[in-house]
Amino acid sequence: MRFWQSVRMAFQTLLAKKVRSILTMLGTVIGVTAVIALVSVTAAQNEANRNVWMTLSKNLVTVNFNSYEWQGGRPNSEIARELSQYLNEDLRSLASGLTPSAQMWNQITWQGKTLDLNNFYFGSEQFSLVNQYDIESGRDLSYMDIQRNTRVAVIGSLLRDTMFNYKDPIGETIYVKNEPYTIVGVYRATEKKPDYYSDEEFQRWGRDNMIVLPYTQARTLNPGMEMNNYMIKGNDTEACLLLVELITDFLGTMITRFDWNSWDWSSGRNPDTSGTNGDFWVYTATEYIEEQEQAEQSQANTMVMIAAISLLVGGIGIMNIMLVTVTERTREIGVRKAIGAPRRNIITQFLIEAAVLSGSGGVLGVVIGFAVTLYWGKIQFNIIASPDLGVTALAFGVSVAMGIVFGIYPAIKAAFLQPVDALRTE
Amino acid sequence: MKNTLIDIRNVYKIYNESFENEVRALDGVSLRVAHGEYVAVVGASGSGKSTLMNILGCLDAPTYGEYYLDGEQVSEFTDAKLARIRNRQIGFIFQGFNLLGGLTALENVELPLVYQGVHGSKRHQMAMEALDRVGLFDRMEHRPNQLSGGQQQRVAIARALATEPNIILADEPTGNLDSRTGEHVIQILDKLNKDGTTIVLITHDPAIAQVAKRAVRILDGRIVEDSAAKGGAAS
Repeated sequence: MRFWQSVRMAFQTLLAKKVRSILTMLGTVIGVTAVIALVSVTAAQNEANRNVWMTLSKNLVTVNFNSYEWQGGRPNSEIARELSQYLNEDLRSLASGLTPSAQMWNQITWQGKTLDLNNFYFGSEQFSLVNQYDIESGRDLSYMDIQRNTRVAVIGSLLRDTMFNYKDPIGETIYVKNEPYTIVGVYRATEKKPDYYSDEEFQRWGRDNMIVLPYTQARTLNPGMEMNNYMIKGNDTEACLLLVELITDFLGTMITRFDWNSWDWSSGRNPDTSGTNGDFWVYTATEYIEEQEQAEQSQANTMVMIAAISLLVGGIGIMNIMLVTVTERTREIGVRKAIGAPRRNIITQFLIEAAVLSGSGGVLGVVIGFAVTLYWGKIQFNIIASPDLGVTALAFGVSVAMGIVFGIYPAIKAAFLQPVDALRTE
Repeated sequence: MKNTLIDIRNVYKIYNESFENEVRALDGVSLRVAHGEYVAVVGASGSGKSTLMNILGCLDAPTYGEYYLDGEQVSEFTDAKLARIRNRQIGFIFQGFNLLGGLTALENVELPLVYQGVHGSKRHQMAMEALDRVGLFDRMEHRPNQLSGGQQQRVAIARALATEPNIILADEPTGNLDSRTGEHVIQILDKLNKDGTTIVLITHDPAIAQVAKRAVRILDGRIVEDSAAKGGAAS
């Protein structure tokens, strides 16, 4: 076993000069540690970010319109009806869910206790699908609730906690503007309290401090109110972009809006909106999210590049020390050649030594990298960051490869020593 | 001369040729050594005897002249072939022993067998036999720094023997040893020669040269005396 003998001898050489070996490995250790920790923590952090805001608005198209009837625009109710029909019939294949929606501020009362609520919604039975809410107890809004205009409501978990003191609220009756509504279900929590919110702030602003009523109840509570807001869940990014285009064209046939793109903001004059009869807004964050994801990826790549420079520096350090080793062991090389070692054998021996040196640094780097990943993720972002195994394997492989690549020159230098010169060295 | 093993013809080794500081380490040396001979090359320090040994051992190439080893011209060999020759045909014994400090006695003796490609238990067996021949069977797990000078030189001899080479080249093998241990080493060499190994022994000590059957005196890079030519003992 010539190979294992070489490996064993390489370890002996390393152990014989501990301080030198550790200093030589330092560059590799730092490089591997940095790559593993940066990639793993960045990935975990991005994952956490995504959990907070990406899933909420991913593939979501928001539509808002307002026709100015006083400027000759068509009635909003008519536009709402036509848009609803267009969405439900013509664009159905592009979307997995659709809900008219309105968010407003309202007071709700239960057993004499009154609460101001910012997240007071009207929606259809697909409200939970579009907004990615899951039922925790009771039932969701149903198609029949919408059709029959039932006086029911589904609430978020945080509202249950604050208003009903964590008790089961199903079957309880609450009052909005003195109109009674029966709570039929509770949505599961969608977010944890972020560190920057106090308990009080979270209860006030938290996403789950919410209630949703059938949108057909909107008129009961606010006479004359039109559902001029729609939320659509597109199938994918392309579908979202197509939806934005199609809905913009569709609304454009009914509403003449001011073209903000043509207006020179620096003119200092008010825009001339004569000839317009309303405004609308169709928006998807999908593109933005993709850009964000790509930006995050390139940011991570940049950090890995920087960490990789450390690996490179480590490799140069190994080459330096291997050159010293070759000089120190010239006589040994001479002896080996005298007793018949061919060149390739000498090359292999020194390459193995370089690889063992950098590989040991790599192992140390993996261990420290794992520790740093867990500790850093915990204290900095309060997340459990698990080390990325693919990157770990890659970083370790690169560290060994660095040793071999940077070991080639010293090894060749050793192999091409003239035996007689090598033996003459003291 | 029958069965010529080493045949060098008109060999020169010149450093800094045609410069002012030109040195002729070997200045036209011709020498033939037959199979089974025991030749002592005697000369003062700086006479060129070590250069001669390096050329004989394929560790160095002559500037001019031809070297036939067992009928083949050495200057035409590739590096790989030279390594193989050094490995199988020639065994070296150095004044400074030149054992590898990180390896045990047994591993040192095994090293040329490793390069020869002998594996496993066979390699162990051959190395142990070689150690046995120099009387160090019980020291095979010792490292060089745990052995005396004489023992180290015997390990070096065992290493030279392990591949059963045709020639043993010994460069001042007793130079670092006291006279009694030196004698022991010389006895081993003598015994090896009786068993049929060709030995070229390089020394500055005329007393040691007496042991050899043939003595060649070298001075300023030239052979000035050859007992074979005078007495015809080895022809």
